[in-house]
Amino acid sequence: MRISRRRATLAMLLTAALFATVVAAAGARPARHAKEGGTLTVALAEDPDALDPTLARTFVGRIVFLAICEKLYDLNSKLKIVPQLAAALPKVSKDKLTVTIRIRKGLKFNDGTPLDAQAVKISLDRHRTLTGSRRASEISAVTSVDVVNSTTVALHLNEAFAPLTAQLADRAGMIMSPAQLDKLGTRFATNPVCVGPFQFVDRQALDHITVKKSPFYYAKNKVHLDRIVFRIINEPTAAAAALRAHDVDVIDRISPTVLQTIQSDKSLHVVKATSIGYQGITINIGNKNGLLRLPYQQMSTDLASKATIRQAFELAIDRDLLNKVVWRGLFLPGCGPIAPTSPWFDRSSRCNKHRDLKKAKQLVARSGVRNPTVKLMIGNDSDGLRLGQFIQSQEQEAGIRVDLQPTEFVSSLRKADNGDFDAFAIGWSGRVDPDGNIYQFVATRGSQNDSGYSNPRLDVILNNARHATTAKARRTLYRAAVRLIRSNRPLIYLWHGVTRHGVSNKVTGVTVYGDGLVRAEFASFK
Amino acid sequence: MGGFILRRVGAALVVLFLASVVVFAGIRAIPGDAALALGGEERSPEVLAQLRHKYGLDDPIVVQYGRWLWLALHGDLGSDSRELPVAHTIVSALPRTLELAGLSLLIGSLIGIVAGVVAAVRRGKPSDYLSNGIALIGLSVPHFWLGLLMIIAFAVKLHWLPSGGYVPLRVDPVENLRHMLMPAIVLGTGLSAVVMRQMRSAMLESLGADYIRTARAKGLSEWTVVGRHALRNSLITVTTVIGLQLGALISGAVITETIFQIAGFGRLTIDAVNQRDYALIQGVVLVAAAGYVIVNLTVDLLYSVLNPRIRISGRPG
Repeated sequence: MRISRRRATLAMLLTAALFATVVAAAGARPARHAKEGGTLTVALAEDPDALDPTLARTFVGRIVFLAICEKLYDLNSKLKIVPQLAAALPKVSKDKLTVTIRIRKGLKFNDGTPLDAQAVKISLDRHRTLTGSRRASEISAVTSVDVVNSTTVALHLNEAFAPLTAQLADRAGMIMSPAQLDKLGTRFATNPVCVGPFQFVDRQALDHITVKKSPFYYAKNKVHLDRIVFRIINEPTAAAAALRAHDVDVIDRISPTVLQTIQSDKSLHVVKATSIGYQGITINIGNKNGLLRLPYQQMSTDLASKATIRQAFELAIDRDLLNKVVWRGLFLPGCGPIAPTSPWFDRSSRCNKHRDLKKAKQLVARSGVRNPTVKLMIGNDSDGLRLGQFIQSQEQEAGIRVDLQPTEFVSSLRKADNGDFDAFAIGWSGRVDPDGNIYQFVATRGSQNDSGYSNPRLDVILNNARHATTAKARRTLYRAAVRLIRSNRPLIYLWHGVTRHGVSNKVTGVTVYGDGLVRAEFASFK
Repeated sequence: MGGFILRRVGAALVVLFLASVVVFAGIRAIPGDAALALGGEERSPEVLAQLRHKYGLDDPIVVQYGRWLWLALHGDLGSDSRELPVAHTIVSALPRTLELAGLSLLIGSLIGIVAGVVAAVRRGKPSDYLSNGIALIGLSVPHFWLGLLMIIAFAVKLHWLPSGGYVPLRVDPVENLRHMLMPAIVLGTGLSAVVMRQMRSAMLESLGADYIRTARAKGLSEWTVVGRHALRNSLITVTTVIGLQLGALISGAVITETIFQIAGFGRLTIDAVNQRDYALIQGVVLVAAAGYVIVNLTVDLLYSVLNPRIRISGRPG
């Protein structure tokens, strides 16, 4: 049978159209319209402290603030800083000493009062000056705040300070309702009012925090839930059981011990992100008389006095094996203060995740120290003990004896500040700007330099990185800083955490970035 | 009777004062700086100094105690680490623990008394051995294990009861009971074993007494002999045990509250100690000490009601 060319062409076109339709239909995901309304229950692993942006200190409190207190700047999923209450990224003057921030128009606090430049000034001044403010040191470079006009503020600095925008993308950038501050003063935490998709309803210590959808929020159409109840469940097994029983919809930071139970439940899924923080071992090199009692003096311990012993100590640890044995392979082995998920991560840096036992043994022999001994302060919980015992066994093979000192957390901080330790296994939750992960721990005047490490060259590099305004210049400086730290080892970095959060399949829109915070404010039920 | 009560109340006030002094000094003797706990990740010396000043931690301990006592006597227990009023936090947590302890006491006492009476009356028979066996299990099984087992069975698998949390009685009585049932059973199990053992011994002693033989000789029914004569006398011993166990129940509630996520007194105390939350610890201990004193006082008064001889001997001669 002969088919005319025109017919053949038509048939081909029809077939192609049909095929395209089928492929498109197969490829397209079923449209998941967000269901409006409902109460989302989020289990928090700890009870937040004060719900006052000036006084707040806990990680978990930041999860609640995401719902009720927005900031001048925020992070996007790639951890880049983007405007939130501000209209654009800040403008820095030529002398780098004035930062001008333009505020979005038409914003309202959750009490219905308008957010303007005066309100921003009041909050920033409170962060800077209130007694006991946890924000004061974060924005210590700011000497005064001026209202330029109703939507613009100017921040005057005593020195150029590049990490400022990153600080304003966290609690230091949260703006509180002046009317509520007038009303409650230092009791603001009892009924916090900011700009946010939700407004505070009530709180019962160790039980719950309830927030409800705000009628004043500028992007109401993005908010689908009526309420979010943050329930405090600080026992991992109980949290997992509550999620499996569907008493809660989301759990914050699943403990490795219950992860498998949640993963095997088909009605749940897990969202995860690699933390911008790190875990490591701080070595006491010069903290003889206590934190910031300058000048630091060289300690006489084996680990402090011999750089080769510190190098051997690090080479004896197999980071990859540590992750598998101690953490069931759930974390990401690492060698520096900046995680690979950070936009500031230096991809040219090398990290040997495996040990070099032969070289470690040679270094111990070359050091001239017979039977070097290290007292390692660890947490007094099961995780701390597992970590300590692993390091102890690895070091033993290299000829380094490790005495474990399990210590309760607050006591361990006290001992670390007093310089009463050789080595201390401790981590840092991480900040989006590299300065927040490095300066305070290894700069001579760093507020948490428990190592007592003092290197004038590193100080110059870190201070220049604070003053530099281009990302390229800062990147170069941090690369040099990390190399110096890794060769001198006041801190031996071991891994970056990976936070995992359990979510019911009935819920959509729960996300988590590298800062590890569960973002559920724009979630909805399916 | 009035003098008896006055003496007891006076002693109670002395106990409360001493308890507050011991706790005030004791909590400050725990290693670790409260300012470090309050500072969180912020550890710059300037901020820590400000925190010490804000919470008065840089004053001599006597000055701190005097200030706290003065404010406490005026009903102000300060603010906790959440910047919430301590009194409000305690008042919110207390009913949860009291309800849990009360329900556990009820469940434990009922099971224990009935099982104890049955075991004594049917001494040496299978029901006696069964009661003893159950008591042994009740004493041996750890609360956290039994709690988790019940959560898996009734919340995760069967979805009959919530896995934890709390709904106030005034908000929804049915939901309140559904939330409290599992924790009360878990906490009451241990108590029922103790009560059962005590009840059985006391009943055996009573049943062997002369007045019981007399009652039987008078032709009273076994129900009247056991229920009206033996049981009433045996209850004196058991009431003491139950009174003393209330303290243990409140202490034991810490584990049960943790497993069932009830923001009660026990969980609050542990959290306060971990956070070095001095204001909250002091408030909690003061209230706990007051609770112990009141319970002991109540038990003493109950003695005198149940046993007239105590009331008579309590009178001045």
